[in-house]
Amino acid sequence: MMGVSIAFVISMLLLYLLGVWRRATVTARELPPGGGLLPDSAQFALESCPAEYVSKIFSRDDWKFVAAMKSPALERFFRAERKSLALLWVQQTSADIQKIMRQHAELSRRSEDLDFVTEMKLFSRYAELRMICGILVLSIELAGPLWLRGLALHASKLSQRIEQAQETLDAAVEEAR
Amino acid sequence: MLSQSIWWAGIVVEAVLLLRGVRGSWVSRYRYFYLYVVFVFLQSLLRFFIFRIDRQLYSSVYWTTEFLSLMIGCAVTFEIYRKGLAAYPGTARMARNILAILFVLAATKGFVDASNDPRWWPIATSTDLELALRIVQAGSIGALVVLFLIYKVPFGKNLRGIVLGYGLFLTLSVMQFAFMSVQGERYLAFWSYMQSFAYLLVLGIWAGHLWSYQREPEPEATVRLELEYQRVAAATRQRLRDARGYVGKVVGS
Repeated sequence: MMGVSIAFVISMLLLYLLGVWRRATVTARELPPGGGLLPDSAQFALESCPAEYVSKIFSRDDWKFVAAMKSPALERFFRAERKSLALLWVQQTSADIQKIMRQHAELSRRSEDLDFVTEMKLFSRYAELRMICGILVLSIELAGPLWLRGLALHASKLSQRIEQAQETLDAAVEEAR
Repeated sequence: MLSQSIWWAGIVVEAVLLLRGVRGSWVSRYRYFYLYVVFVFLQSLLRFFIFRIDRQLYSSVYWTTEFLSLMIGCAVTFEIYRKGLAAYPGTARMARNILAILFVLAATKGFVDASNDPRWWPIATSTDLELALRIVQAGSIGALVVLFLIYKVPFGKNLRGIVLGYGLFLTLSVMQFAFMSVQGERYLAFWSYMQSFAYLLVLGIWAGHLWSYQREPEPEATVRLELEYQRVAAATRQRLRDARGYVGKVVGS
């Protein structure tokens, strides 16, 4: 029975992939040649929107100001506006990350010395970033952008504590040996 | 009556497909694919006559030819890989590695199954064996399609038709054999119709895409990146690191 469900999943997946690929190949056009696809310096597209400014979306400073006005309608409007801005930023960031990998794929597909391990590492890094974007969207939808910074700090502290605990455990294991 | 009509329609489309390929002389360009079509064409005729002459012999002829067509199908997969990625050595290298991993996984699973049950091979029915091999083939085609998508490998109409038709054929075969291995012979008639109809659909896709020859799109010869991979990879790594840093800085983690 297990084998049948795997077979069913594989066949459905293949059908889906063929559909996506068919659409992609029909509309695909070769990118213009030339090495100008990838910038020489490591410039990231979103640098046009500096982090210092964007971080304001997630900052609670403005919220404190709005809350002091004691206007529920204004608070609702502010929260909705911040949420849509934050979601838009995540979407843009995600699109830029996709663009980086797309450019990489377009350049590396013809390299004879392409390294499988390097490609896998890059892909895992890319997958991690896309996952972070997914988590961000989910968190913004659930908690809103204003509480996200707090959540991120909490997660960061938690991971630091786990790391410390792991180090202590490793040290203890070493000592026991 | 319906199955006979579908069967004859299939034979006709196969003949037309072959005729077009031979007359246009693009048979040699997709050698294994046309070998597969010729084999299936002859196989259909052979099965038909055996079915008429000796029904007891039919089962063994059916499974023998089925296994042979499976082997030629593997050659078609290889041809897709070879033709599609001829101009993209980087993607071809990725494909080789991924196909090798898939093969090792399939072989390991086969070995584990065999060692868990010493009677595995003797009791394995032809359906189970065909299902296992079709799954490996479907996995290979799926992996290739993923690579074509990721690396945006452009395809000409002919090769695209071969991939789409063969991929669809594999999808339906895997489904059919999966259900047959559970349901046994209960819905044999239904699956027999399904298989014939699906194969006719696949032949239609092939005939449509291979009606005339279309040159595979060639990449620009002016770009020479063979020696630049490490530079490209390093730049991508740096850009992803920047992106990670940027997201962290904004969100405050």
